[in-house]
Amino acid sequence: MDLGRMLCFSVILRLLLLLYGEWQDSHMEVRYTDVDYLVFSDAAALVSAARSPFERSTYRYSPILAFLLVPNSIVHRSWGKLLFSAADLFVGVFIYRILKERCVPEKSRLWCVAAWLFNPFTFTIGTRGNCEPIVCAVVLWIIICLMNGKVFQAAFWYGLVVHFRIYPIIYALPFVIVLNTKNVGTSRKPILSQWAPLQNIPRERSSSKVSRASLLSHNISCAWVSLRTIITKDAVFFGFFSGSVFFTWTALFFHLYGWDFLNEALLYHLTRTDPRHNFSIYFYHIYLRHQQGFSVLEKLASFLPQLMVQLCLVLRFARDLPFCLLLQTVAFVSFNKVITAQYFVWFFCLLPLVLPWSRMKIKWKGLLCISIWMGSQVHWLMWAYLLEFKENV
Amino acid sequence: MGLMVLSIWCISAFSNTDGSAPQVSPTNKEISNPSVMGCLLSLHYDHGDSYFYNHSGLSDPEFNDVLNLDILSGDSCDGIIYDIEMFGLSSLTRYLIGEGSHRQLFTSMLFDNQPETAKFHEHSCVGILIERLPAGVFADHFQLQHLVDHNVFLGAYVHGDRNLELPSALSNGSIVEVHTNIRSDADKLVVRLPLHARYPPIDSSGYANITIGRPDVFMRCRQKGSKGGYFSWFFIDMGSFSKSIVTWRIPSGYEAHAWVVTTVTFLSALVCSVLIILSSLYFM
Repeated sequence: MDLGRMLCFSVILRLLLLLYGEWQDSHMEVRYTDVDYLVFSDAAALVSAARSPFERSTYRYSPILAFLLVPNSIVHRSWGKLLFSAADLFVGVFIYRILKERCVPEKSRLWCVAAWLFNPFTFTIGTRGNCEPIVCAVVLWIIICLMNGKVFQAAFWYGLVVHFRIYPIIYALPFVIVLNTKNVGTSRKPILSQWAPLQNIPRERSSSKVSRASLLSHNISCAWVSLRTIITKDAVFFGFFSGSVFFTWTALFFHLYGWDFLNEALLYHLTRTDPRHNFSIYFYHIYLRHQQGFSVLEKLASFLPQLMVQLCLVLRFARDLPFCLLLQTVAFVSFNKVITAQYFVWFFCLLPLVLPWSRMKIKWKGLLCISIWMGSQVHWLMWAYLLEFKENV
Repeated sequence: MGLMVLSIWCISAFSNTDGSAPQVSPTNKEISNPSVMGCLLSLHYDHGDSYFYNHSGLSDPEFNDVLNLDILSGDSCDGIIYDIEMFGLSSLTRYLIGEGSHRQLFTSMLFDNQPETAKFHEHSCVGILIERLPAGVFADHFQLQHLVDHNVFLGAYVHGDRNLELPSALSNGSIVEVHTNIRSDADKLVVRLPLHARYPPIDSSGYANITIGRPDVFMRCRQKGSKGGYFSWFFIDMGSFSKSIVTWRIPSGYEAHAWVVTTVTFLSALVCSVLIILSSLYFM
């Protein structure tokens, strides 16, 4: 199978799911459509009537999303789902392109693309009307731009995507580090590690004679070099231009919608704590303490692990950009004070970028890892189900 | 014609803590006769919003004053219906359907005068149920709108605290208004109102009991074929149905667990983050 056929099959699958979603929405009490999609659609209808999207309660996104979905009220209510599913397909194409530029063989590339396109979690996300595939596509496009030395374009999209969804702000440091002089060759392209057959990868861990102490000092000195050489012309330009794009969009919408925009689309996400059942380890602590409020010490204590882990991962792995972004995203989601299932898509789109370098075989270690991950979620969700629908906890 | 003002609503739905079993409420055989309020052009009762504009919480005496002053003062008009006994109710049944945090509040009201023996069928009527919900539960106004779109209700409105996310301790009460069509041959008015429990305050017992009092019921009628935009409005006193209060038992966190959970949570986060940092630094 080639990429074209794979994409055709993916398009058909998504169109069928869209049709099924329409049927379920009109015939069953439980909707297929994500409740957030109804929020987006309501906000889009408000925007098309020249009103603020923030008149719709629980709309906590950039107004750009509402504008993108204006055809929902003019053309068809499924317009947004088509848009998100198209972004979902673009993610597949971008994964293929990144792996091709990193010289990964065709067969491995296709397996990695399939890991995204045929992941049941991801193809339902877009067809149910979740906007995350757009963010994933833009993040991957930024990686492609950086790999090809298109710093201007990368900075533009980065400023835009941070305005759109905030969380990619955690990628700022690795993006800047990868642009430093050490990583940019004469072609101005950042040197990303190329693929090599597994048997050619030196088994450093088993053959290395270096002691743990010298390894530690070597890693710390590498991190220090990364940090010291961070300020380059490209890095300053990237930071300045992406920051300008971010602030321009933010200022524009602040001018249009005032504090409603700033509070709902930006500040809400920075201060969000959810006492209701979610995947975060902090949720129950937040629930048990929500009546008395949280001290500054508690807020710092919950932010500190997140900060330490992010800094460590960036300084240690920034030179292998896709791997670093994947680790950062997994860690960011894991230590977040609120985690919903849609957050998993943030790292699902980055996982295929590192799969060719993994020594793990799907049989049986890979399957075991997938089972543990799914099993822990099912276990967590079982308690949520008993609490929400049975009150039998 | 003079002003017809009702001064009912003396019994506070919220002050009555005579809790019944969550699933079943007994049926009372007393008859509740309606009272004429007068004629109003408005199809929609929207005084809940004006009440919450001036008040931060739902207090029964204050809300009753608003109803008495603002609503129960319709003037008479041509075609006002005086033969109101046919709209009396003989029973009220209330209970919660389902389990967990998402349930339906079932309300069934049986008309005292059967349609075949009265002139009920000569009128077209709309029943308006007004539920006063305490802070612990809420109705999702988007879900209600969905039901209106699917013709389950003629209209549905939520006044007061419409926040769908906040826990009970940070919420206020709300008023839900449901309009439902009454068929000419109907012998009862049935409403299934979807409700959701908020996360309750922590408690030493591990449970919180939410009490939902009896509803207020209006009927808006006019004779079939009558012209003009006026409707006769009736208020049906539910005070005679004494055992119509529903109690919802919701699990809550234990107060004694708070410090253990906080300690374990922060220790886990710290240990995991240190492990990640160490394995990163020793990563080959």
